[in-house]
Amino acid sequence: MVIAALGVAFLKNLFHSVLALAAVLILTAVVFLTLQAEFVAAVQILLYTGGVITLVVFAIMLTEKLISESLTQTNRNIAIGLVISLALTIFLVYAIKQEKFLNWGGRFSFDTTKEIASGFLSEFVVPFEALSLLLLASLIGALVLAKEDEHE
Amino acid sequence: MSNYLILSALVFGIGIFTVITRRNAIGILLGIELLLNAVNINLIAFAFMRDNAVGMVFVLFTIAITVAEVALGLAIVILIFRLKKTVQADEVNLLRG
Repeated sequence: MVIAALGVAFLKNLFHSVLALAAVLILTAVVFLTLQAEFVAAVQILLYTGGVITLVVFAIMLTEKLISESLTQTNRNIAIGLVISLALTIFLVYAIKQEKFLNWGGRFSFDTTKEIASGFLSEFVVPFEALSLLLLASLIGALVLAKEDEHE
Repeated sequence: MSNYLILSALVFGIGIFTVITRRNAIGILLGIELLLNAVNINLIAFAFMRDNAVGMVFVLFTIAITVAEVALGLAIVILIFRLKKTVQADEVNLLRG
């Protein structure tokens, strides 16, 4: 998974980079499965690898003249980026190593899908509704932004 | 347990690197995807550790918001491409005085 993520960062061809991202997303779903979050894993595969990857591929095809054309992708601020990301990663890993995490039970004491559903419909019902509004707004916003201007 | 967190930290670092160094705007969006994935792994791992489903509810919120964000981001990228005929983020200087 880390190798695939590195592929997203370093591959010259943006299309290959998207494929590496798809690999990362599927492997994330596998990680979710090992953590017994089956529903979230299914949503991950359906939404991310189904929806987002398709969208990104379409955008690349629209914007790039030739898919095989590979311009220099990563020469901007490469030293600064390397320093910042390495420092952050080392700091995070160090902090995680320092911390003693309490042992967990090994598996959930409840049905996760059921618990998610009742969480959505009882405790988090207002954010849930706000989320549906957000999705509608972003749909309309994307349409308005990407629409051809007939007037000019 | 901490293995999941270290994995998430590595993916987060790579995502930051991608966001900073990519020139293509779509590449930057891919980096943002990596960042959000790292956060999702973290949330699920902690939900597992605490035996609590709230983390998973949060992950579903994050996923939905990410989808909206990517759709809007790509719309903006396409719009900029139509205006400027480029998707390189450092050539977009419409707001420069």
